[in-house]
Amino acid sequence: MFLPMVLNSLNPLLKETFVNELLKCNERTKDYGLVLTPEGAESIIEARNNILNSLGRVDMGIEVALGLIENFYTSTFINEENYVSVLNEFQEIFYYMKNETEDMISDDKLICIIKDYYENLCGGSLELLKSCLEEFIHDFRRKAHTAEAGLGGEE
Amino acid sequence: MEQRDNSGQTLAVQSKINSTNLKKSQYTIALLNESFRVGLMSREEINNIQIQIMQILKELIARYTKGESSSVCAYTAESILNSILYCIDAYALGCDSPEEAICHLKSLQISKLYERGVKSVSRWLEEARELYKKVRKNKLNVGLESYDHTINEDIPLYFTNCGIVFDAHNGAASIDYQLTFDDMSINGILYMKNYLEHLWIENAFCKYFNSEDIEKLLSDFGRTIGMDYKIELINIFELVFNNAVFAILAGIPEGLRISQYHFDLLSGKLKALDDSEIDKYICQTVEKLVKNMNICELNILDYIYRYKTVFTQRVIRLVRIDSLRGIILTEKEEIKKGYTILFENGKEMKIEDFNLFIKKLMKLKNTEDKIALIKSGIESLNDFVDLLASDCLFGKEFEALFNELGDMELAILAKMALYEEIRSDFRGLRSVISEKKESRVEWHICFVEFLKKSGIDRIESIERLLGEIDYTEISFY
Repeated sequence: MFLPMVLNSLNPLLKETFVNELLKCNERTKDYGLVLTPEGAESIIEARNNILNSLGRVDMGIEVALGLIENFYTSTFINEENYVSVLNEFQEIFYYMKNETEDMISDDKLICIIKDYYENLCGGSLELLKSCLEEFIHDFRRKAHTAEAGLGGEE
Repeated sequence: MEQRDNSGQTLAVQSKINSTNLKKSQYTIALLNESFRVGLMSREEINNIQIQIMQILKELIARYTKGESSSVCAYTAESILNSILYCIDAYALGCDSPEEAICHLKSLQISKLYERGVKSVSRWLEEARELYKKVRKNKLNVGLESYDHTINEDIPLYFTNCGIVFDAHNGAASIDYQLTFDDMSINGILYMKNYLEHLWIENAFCKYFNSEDIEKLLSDFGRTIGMDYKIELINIFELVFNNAVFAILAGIPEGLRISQYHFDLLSGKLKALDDSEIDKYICQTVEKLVKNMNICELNILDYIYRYKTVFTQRVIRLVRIDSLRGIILTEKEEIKKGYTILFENGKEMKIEDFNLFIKKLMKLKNTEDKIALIKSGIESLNDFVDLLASDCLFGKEFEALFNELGDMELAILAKMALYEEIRSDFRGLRSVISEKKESRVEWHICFVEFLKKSGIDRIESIERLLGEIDYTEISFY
């Protein structure tokens, strides 16, 4: 399907707007030693577009990337070197989970779940995070399925 | 005609726009393409319109997810985007001309056009609901399943699921009943409104005739094709109109019933005429029909005259290939059911018993023993058909088994093995079996071979019984 490709990267003007919005975050994150360069911000937008296209999703805004920055810039596991690459990994994990949980978890809640796992359970390991979140997805689906079957049984 | 855009420039556009490039189903996109092609819009202007549409999409995604998610899967985004474009189309189609629509797309905010489009679509939906109430009132009571199902279930379901904001473009894909004029160039709510307008007209026309006559006509249609009319996908209006016109042509004062005698008379009359004479003859007859029935509603008259053109062409073609039976339905005697079926419903074996039975059968080597076991052990048609398909009989064994069956059982099997052939263009069982092409099902092949070897009398007897088999009484699977 071409639609995600068309919509997610529709206009160069939008890309510029998105980059500027990301750069505005530097005002808050610089105290933690995290500063995005315009190239870094562009790379986040590029990664976002590629992830959305490959996962077959459409996002008309940049709120998810902004939300991830907002929630993770205080993390002790993130530094200037890995800042952009970790954010890109988070974007991929986030949209992957949206698909796998069939949009049943809100954006804010999902970011909180990823943060909780990353900070507390996984000690900042992205590999461990991915593995733990697979288990989370499995459990989530099982519960959703049970709830659905339970409702069906009552009918 | 000249129009002015917001910059005050004069658009001398009428000669440039090629209206054949403007498809109604994607009107806005067609307008943008066409205005770009003729230089009425620049790439920047089109980009600007696209960005505005994307902004609407963004807002609607937020509404769709109740503000909980900024992203959706591509399928959902596509559906919402199509719904947006559908509403903008509704506005643009309401403009006096494509030029005016282009002018508004250039000069007004797209969100404003969208909101006005939503109002138009909302009005269409309201009109469609009102039309549906009218259709319920003039619904025919003829027992045709696709017709009843469409009116009683498909359309109410459509209204239940239809939403203006997220689903305006979605058509009624599940509607079975086919109308004479079904405008597939439009979709969504407008399609449904149009469908209901036409359905009401077709019903209203048919209401000029006695419902028993219509039901008899449908039964005759079923008997002609050797099928139960109730499960066929047929259009009632066409059958009624066709026979109403032919009845007048044959000199029958009123009604829809045409006897074999009148058919022969008509056939002779029409064959003697050239194409323009047939055309003239039909024109006069349709006028007579309108007058006799005192039909004066303009929308019904429009529909009749529109169909008359199609009808006339069809009649001329069928006269020339000597196939008027394809359009004139003659009266068929109702055959009293005087048969009994060897098999009974409700006496099916349990699956484990059936499997055991097949194992037993496969151990037997002698054909006579196999036939004896089948006759003593199989009581239901379902089991019998499962047995035929279970690879436990071969070649001559099939023939021996079919030989044990009565004509009614063979007629039932013929309906199953030759279903498509009987249904599509039934010109007698003999021609069907002689023309039957390969089948992947072994018992079908053996059955056709068996029929080919049967005598003419038996084939004719089976053919007569084909019309008696009621699909609603016999469940095959």
